[in-house]
Amino acid sequence: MLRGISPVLTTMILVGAVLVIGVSFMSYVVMLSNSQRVEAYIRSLVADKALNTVMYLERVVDYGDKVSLYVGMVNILNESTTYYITTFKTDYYGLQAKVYRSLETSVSYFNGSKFIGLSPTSVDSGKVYVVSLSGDYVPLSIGTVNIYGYMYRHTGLINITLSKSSLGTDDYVVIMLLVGVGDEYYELLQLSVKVV
Amino acid sequence: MLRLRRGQAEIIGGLIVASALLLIVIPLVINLMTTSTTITTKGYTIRSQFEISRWSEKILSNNTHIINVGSVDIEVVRVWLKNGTLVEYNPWVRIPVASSIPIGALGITNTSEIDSIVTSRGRVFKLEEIIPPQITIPIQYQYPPLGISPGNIMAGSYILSKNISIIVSCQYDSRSCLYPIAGFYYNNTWYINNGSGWVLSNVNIKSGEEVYTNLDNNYARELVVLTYSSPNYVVVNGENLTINITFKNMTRIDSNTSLVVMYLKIIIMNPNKDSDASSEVKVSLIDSTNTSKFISSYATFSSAKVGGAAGSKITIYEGYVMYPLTQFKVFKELGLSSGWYDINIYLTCATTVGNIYVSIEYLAIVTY
Repeated sequence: MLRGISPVLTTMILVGAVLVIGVSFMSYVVMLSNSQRVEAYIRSLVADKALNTVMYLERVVDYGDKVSLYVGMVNILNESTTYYITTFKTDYYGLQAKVYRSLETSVSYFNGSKFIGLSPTSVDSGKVYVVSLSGDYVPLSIGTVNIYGYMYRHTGLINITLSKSSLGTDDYVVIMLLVGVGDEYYELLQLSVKVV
Repeated sequence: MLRLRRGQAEIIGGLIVASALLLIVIPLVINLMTTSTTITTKGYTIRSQFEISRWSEKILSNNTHIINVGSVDIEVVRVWLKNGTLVEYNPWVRIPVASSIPIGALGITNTSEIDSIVTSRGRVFKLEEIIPPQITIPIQYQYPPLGISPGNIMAGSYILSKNISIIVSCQYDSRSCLYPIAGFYYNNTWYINNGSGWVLSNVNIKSGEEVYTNLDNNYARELVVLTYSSPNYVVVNGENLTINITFKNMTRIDSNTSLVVMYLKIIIMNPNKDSDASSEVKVSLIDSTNTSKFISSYATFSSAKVGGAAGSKITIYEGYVMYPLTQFKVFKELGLSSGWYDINIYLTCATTVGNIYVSIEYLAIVTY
């Protein structure tokens, strides 16, 4: 009698253990793939918006102690879009940058007849993600940064004014367009400018 | 029976492992397939087409028009002026392929005011990029003397055909001229220029003043300065006379310009033949957009004192003034930069008896 019962019980225990381990492992894998899905969604969103946006330096005006950078934008699909803008400084151009530092600027937009100041939102830069040289998103991590929301249709023009004393001789000023996902911001496009 | 049990155990174990693997792998594969998104080729195609259009934009400019020489229509969104002003257009100013628009369509009077033009595709055209380079022809292949071509000379009817702006000021006998304007008498008609090009005179000019537009009596009419002397305008004159006359945007200097030469004929007449008149002429090149930058010369011309009509005495200044820019560029104080330049003639005359009249018979400017 005993010999007949124990194999069944053993089997049941084994099957149960495998199921539990398997389901646990599957849950873990699904959780991982979900985070992959979020990142894939963000990359897709950013890529779509970046394909449809052109950003360029329109004019640089040197006032001696200050400098104004006029940055133009074009939405090639003629859509009304809200972009978020932030500025900071780096040690190298574009993706080669290794060191990021905060930079105080004032940002205004052209409404057709004059420049109007944009109100900043102070954001923890840990929630602002920039593209690194390896292609991954990394947090900016320079304390708090000012994020400016700017909506335009088809073409836009912003003015970024900063004090030259806040720049070192090797610094690059970065003007970055961001896209908002929840309460986080992801790099869309950037302009890296050396102010002489 | 023992073999049968061993076989059973192995099968059961294999089934369990297989089931576990399927439970993990299949959902994972399905999940990964659903998360892999691709950017549609439509997005890339639209962007590629946009970039091709963007870099196909090309414009040129002469003094009066903006010309689309590219292969796509262009829309001008805004223009930056040299004085820092930004002008935005709503609606945008469209320039179809192989077409042009007058500068006035942008609300601008002269291309020299423009710093850059911005299009709807995000192109920024600086003025230097859209002005065709001036080609310098060696002197030996140009018209003599020293390379003046007939079309370069502003004289006679050419004074009126040139759409130039002339700004004048003057003083006579320590009095400032009232509402001074440049005047030219042609085909029995007075024309005036008060800084906005030549127009038929709409002011009362005293009858008979036209005799002072031919001071040397050679039947070639000359450009004069008129001033208001109630109840009408007269050709300015006096014992002590100072005339300041500026011809706006007469020539363009760029980095290739090495020499500027001006040819002038100025006539000074004193109706009283018995008295002498002393005179001084200064000719200057002035940056059109920054009048603090200029280069001047008091160079004397060949001059002749001759008897004029009715016993008057006239002095003729005729000759040229050279500005060797290549040599002068080392003097950074001059700050000469590329762009349009005005010509200024500053003339002072004095006599003891009589009233001096002044006129300009011709003016030519040539760049090398």
